[in-house]
Amino acid sequence: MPAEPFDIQGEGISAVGADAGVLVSFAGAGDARMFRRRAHRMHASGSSEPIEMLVAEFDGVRTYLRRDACGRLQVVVTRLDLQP
Amino acid sequence: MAATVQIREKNGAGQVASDKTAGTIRFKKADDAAVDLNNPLVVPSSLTEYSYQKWLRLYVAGGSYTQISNLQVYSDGASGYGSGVKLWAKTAAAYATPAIPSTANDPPQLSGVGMADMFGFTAGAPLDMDNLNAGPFDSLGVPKDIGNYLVLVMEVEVGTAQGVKPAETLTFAWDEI
Repeated sequence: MPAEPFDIQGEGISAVGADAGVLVSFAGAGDARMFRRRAHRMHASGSSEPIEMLVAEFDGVRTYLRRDACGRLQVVVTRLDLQP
Repeated sequence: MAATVQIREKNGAGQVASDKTAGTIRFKKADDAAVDLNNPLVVPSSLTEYSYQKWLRLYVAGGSYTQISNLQVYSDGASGYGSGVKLWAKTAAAYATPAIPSTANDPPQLSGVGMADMFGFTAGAPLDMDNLNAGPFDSLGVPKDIGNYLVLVMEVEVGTAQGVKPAETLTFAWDEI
């Protein structure tokens, strides 16, 4: 099951992020933003792996969502600035 | 909807670009993007051996997006090249024709400043790729280059085992809305 790219509609507290299997939104007042963290990983084999995470940040706490190669949704909630 | 971002190698005085997004960067003693066995680095009998610089930059080829920011590059933190082979890195704001650094300096220098170990840049401590050419980068004027140039130099030291070395992994990351 290939990962679907995330789409973000709206800005700030009104932002909504989604792919084929997940919908992410904010609730309540706060400092909020949503963005995609993307990467190209150039592998030793000569291939390139595109990576994408949806990042929803609310009052400094970030929720990172990423689908693995099997389509499973990985969710990490942290204050850290994580790279793919 | 997303930006189409490529990793491009620049060569020659005219910074001729080659898309390396799904490719390999071959360090050699020639300024070209070909992945071949021509112009190999030679294990030195004294001092050290440097490759030609490799100049890399992110390029937005198209797609749909509002802005791109927070450009980063990093390694997996562990060199697989083996003893005697090092990979040096530094960013630059403007292009210069690739050259072989002077072996009078170890580590090699770029614009008079020593380069850093590429394997010291990891996901936890990446190399900033938009501090010199600052983002965010909007979609006006696409296709276009964005961010800093990443300049890489490979070093081969005295006593290094001969042969083609295993390839390594490099990750370019950015934020996009």
